[in-house]
Amino acid sequence: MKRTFNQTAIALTMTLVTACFAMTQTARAASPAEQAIQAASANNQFAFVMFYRGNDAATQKMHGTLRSSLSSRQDAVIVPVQIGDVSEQALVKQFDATRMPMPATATVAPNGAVCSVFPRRVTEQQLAAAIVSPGQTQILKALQDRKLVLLCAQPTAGAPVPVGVQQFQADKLYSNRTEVVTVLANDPAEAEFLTKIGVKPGQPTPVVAFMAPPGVMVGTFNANVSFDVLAEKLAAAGKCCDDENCKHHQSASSKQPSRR
Amino acid sequence: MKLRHMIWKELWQRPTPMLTSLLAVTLGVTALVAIQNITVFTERKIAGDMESLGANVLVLPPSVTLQDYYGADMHGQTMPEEYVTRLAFARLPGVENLAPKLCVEADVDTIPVTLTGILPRSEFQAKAAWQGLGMLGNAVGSDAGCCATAADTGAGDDDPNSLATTRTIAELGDRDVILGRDLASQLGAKTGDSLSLLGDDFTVLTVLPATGTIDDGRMFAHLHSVQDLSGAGPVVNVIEIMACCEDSAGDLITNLSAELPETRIVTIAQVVQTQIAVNGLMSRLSWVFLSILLLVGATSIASVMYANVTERRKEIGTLMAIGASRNFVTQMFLGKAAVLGLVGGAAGFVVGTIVAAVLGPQLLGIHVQPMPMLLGVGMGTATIVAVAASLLPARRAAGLDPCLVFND
Repeated sequence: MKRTFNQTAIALTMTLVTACFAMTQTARAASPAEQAIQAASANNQFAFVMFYRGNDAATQKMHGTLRSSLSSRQDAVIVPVQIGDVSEQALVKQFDATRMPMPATATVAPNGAVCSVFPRRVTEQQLAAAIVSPGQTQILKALQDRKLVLLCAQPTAGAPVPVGVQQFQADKLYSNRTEVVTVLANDPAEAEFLTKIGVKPGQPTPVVAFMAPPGVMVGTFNANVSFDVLAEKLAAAGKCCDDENCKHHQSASSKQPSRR
Repeated sequence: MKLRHMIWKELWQRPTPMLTSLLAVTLGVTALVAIQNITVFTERKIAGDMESLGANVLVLPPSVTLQDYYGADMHGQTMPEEYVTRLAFARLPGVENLAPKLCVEADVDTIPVTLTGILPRSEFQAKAAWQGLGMLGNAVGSDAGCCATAADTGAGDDDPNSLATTRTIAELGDRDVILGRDLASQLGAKTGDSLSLLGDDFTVLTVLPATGTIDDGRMFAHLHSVQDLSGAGPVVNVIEIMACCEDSAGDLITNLSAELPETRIVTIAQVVQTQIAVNGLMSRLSWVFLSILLLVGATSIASVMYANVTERRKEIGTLMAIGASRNFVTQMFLGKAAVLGLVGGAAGFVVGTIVAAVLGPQLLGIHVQPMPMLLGVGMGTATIVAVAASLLPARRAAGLDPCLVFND
C-alpha cells in the first residue's frame, strides 16, 4: 500500500516538474522590443523595428530619418533593436537580422504583417509608403502565412461575397489555406492599394482579386466567377512558365491538385 | 601468283618490321581518336550544362579565380551572407533564383566528406514576402519580364531531387541532409537513414540522381545549420544566380556589379569560354600529335620498305624473271602499305576509343561513346600516309633489272 502511494507520489511529482518546465519554455517573457511591438499592435500602430549593429553614421542617419518622419504620426512607433542584444535574439532570429545588411528597418503592421524592410538606408517617402491600408495588411499577412487570398472589393458593406469565392473557401481542398478579405471598393483608404493591384476603385459590382503565395497575382474576376474557374486559374499559376523562350517551358508540368 | 596472296605472304614472313610499322601508325591514330573523342563529348556536356543552367552568374569573393563551374565553392574564401539578402531585396530584373553555398569539411564515421550548405527557395520567398505589394512584382523567384513565378498551389510537388538539375531546392529542414549518388554508395546510406555530422544527427532526405559532376561526391544541408555547426558564422563561399532568360538577364551583370561592388561577378559564359578554349587547344594538339606520330610512322614504314627492297633484290628479280610486271611489284608494295594503314587505323580507333572511355569519366567526369566518324578519318589518314611513305621504295623495287640483280 505504502509502496503504491510512493510510486504515485513520484509520478505526480515528475508530471508537475515536467509541466512547470514546459510552461517556462512556452511562456518566455517577451523582450522589450517584442513588448513594444505588442503595445503598438494593441494601439493599432505600425512598429518600425530598426535593427542596428553599432552606433555608426549609417545607423544615426537611419534613426534620424525615422524620427523626423514618424515622430509627428500617431499611427507609428520606432523600436530600435541592437542585434547583439541577448534579450532580443528571438526577434533577431525571426527577421534573420544577423544576415541582413545593417542598419535595416522592418515595418510591422498592427496585425503582424511585415509591410516592408529597408536595408542600409531609408527615405521619408519610403517610410510614408510603408504605412499601408488595413486591406493591404490583411493580404500581406495571409500571403506571409502562405495562404491563398481572395480579395473581394465590394460595392457596399452588406453586399454578399460572390458565390464562387464562397465555394472556393468552403472546398475541403482549399478551406484551411484560403483567406477571404473584403474591402469597400469606394473606401478612399483602399483606393491606392486597389489601383496598384489592378482593381478599379468604386466599381458598382464586386470584383475578386485572387493572389497566391509566394507573391503571385492569379487574376482578377467579376462577381460571376465560378469555383471551377478559380481552381483552374490557380492550377495554371502553379506551372512554372508559359513563356516559350523560358528554359522551363518544356518541363512545366505542374498539375491541378487531385480532388478527393 | 595472285597479288592478294603475295601481299599476305609479304606481311607474315617478316612480322617484326610489320609490327613496328603497325604500332607507329596505331599510336598516331590512337592519340587522334582519344583526344578528339574527349574534346567532342566535353563540348557536348558543357552545352548541355549551359542549357540546363540558363544564364547563370557566380558571385565570388574578389580574390577568387575560377576554372571549374561545379567547384566554384571549393576555394575556401568567404564573403558575408548579407550579400544574399541584399540581392534578395534588390529585386533585380531577370533573377530567378539565388543559391548561396558554403563548403566545409566534415566526417561521417571517420569518412571525410565535403558538406555543402545550401539555402532553400522558401527562405528567399519569406524575405520577398516582406516587401509589401512589391512581392507581387519582380522579387527573387519571380518573372521580371520573363518567367512567371509559379504559385504555391498546395499540390505538394516539391521534389528535393530538383537540386541535381536546377541547383536549388524548395524546402530543406535544418537537420535534413541530401547525399550525392557516389557519396551515398560510399557511406552505404539511403533515404531516411540517420547520419552523425558535425556532432549532430541529420536525416537523409534523399539521394540525388547521378549528375556526372563533383556534386555526386558531396552532401548538402541547410546553410544556416552548416554555418552554426561548423562555427563558420554567417558567410558563404559563392552565390549562384539563376537568371531565367538570356534576354532579361542582359543588364544583370551591370546591375549586380552596382549592387555588390565588393565582389567578383563571373558569368557562366566566361567559365564556359575558358573551358571551350582549353578544348580547342586539346583538339588542335590532337592533330599535332597525329602529325608527329604519323610522320614517325611514315618514316618507319619507308625505312622498312627500303630495307625490304634492298634485302630482297634477288627475290624481286626472280619474281620479275618469272613474269611479274613492274606494275605488279609496285602494287604489291603499295598494297602491303595500304593493309598496314587500314589495320593500324582501325586498331588506333579501337584503342583510342577505349582510352577515352576509361579516362573521360575519371579525369573529366564525362561519359564517352564511340564516334564512328573517327574510324573513317583514322583509317583514311593512316592509309594515305602509309601508301605515300611506300611510294619511293615501291618504285625502286619495280625499277630493278632482273639481269643485273642476278649478276650481283
